[in-house]
Amino acid sequence: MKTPLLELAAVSKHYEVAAAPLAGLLSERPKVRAVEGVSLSVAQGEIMGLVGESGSGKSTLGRLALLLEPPTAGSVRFAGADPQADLNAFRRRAQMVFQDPQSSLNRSKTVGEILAMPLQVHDVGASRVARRARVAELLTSVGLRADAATRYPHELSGGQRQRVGIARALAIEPAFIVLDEPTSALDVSIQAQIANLLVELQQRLALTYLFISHDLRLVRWLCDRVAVMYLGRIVETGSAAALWQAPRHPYAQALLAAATAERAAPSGIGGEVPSPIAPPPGCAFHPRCAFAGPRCAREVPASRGDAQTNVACHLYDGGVA
Amino acid sequence: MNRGKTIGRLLGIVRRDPLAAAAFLFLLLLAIAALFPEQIAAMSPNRPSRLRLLPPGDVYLFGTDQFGRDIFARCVHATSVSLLVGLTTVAIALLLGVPLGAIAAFRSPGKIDSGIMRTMDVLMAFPPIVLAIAVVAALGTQDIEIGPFTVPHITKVMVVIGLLNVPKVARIVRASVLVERNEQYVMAARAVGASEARVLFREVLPNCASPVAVYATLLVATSILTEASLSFLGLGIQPPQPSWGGMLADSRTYVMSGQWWLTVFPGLLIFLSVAAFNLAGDLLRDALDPAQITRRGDA
Repeated sequence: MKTPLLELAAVSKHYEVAAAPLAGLLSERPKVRAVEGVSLSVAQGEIMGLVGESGSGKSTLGRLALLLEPPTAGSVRFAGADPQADLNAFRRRAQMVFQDPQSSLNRSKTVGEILAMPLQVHDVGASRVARRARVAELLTSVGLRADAATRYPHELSGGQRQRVGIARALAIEPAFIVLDEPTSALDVSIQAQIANLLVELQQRLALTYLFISHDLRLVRWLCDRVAVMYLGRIVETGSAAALWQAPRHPYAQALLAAATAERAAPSGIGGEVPSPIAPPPGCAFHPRCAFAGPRCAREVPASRGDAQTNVACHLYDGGVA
Repeated sequence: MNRGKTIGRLLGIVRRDPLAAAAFLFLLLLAIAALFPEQIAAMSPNRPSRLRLLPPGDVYLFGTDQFGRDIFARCVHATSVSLLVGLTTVAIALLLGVPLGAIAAFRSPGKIDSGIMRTMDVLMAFPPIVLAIAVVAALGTQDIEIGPFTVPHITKVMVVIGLLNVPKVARIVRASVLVERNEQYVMAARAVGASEARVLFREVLPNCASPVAVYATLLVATSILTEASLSFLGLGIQPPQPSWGGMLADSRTYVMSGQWWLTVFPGLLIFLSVAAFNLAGDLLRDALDPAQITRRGDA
């Protein structure tokens, strides 16, 4: 087994809901349970997919993995150590590419300034000239012309902007990158280009990705392993091929059925995603699950399996009755 | 390299928007009048003569007042005080208001944010003219000696008006920073490992420059008005030093008796300079936003 680069252990993130000033006195403040007890390990050199509907907590999990937000509970380990111990070193090794290349690039800075910023923060490149050379090198490596450095983000197309976003993440030569829906804000034709670029960079620079997406076809094509999230929990983890061939969790089955027109739907999902403020008791998916039994409403299913392949469903744990 | 671009854009706008250009030109004239009053007005602003209440003519461009003083010379010599008060008060307001508002927004919600903003609310609650009157009444209209330094009366006025404007600036800055800090580039900068101070001052604040600069130019205008009001009430610039507000106050008995030039010229200058600063604010907003210009250019 490959050594894990990133390990999340029982990580949770709850947000307090802003309420009227005195409401907190009468009852407990409501909380959004964005991420609830998630364990996940990403091996060195692997592309790990993270899929789920909007609001399933996958982007929050991505931010927790990079400690951009402190987890409410649980721990994050990176390369076998606590990244909090040397946060600066961690930031050099773990980077992020954002969903919206419009918002993720500072509009008042040129592309060159945006790409030089990580170099300045980490004191890479002795001189201004050296930094400029590095910026040009970065631009070329993501398929842009070196003279793009003098342009402002609004002068670039969406695809070009996302290439700049990727170049920024690469600037300080990280080992691990969280890709938070890097293609979903782009045109379909551009999505393929960016996806190809990401694969090429991953192979050339031996990177490890946590690839967050709701585009299952892209995930299948890109990822080695996939974790499926529903309402803040990971319901199933497995190799992309296995998950695609034979999904085990009813939610994963329904998700794949929805994504593949040719596959007959074994169980359509009815109803809406419940509110993460008041998630259903037991298995959060049980109100919408075709196989749900009385036990599903009482007990939260434990994740069965190992770090590589697991499923959290009573169907595989002695039945739903 | 950014500065060159801003100036270039500024010139482009001036060409497209003649009203803004006129405002800019007027402000330039005011600046020249403020810097070189002697070169522009040949007469003394303060020496009385027997030629009282002369209507505007060849020699006395704006006429003379009840003491036979040249109104043109008095208007020109009052320019520097008005501009000085306007710019200094705004500088004081920006110096304190920008960091206070920015820090409040970055620590929002929380005790620091509440503490700063409630203090600002208290300051906001004072009626500015009444507070200025109270301060001047307490400290008097004479210069104050503090050790070896002499604090001129006008400095007190500027500090009071400046402090009263701090909450307005702080609110604008806080609101802009609150919007900006939700942009993904802020999280991107944090992900890269930038310090909080770097994120706030190097990444976020430059993007708030445009609303703040626009508001600051509007504040120059209101500060000029406040100074004029104080001088009108006899609490601002002290005679015989000329000021637009003071000239209005001295001339009010002549409004009804037909000597309109005593009132109209200082009044017009107050009006025009306030209007010019407001127009310049719009111009600045366009010049500071690189995306806006490209969009305009494309259209």
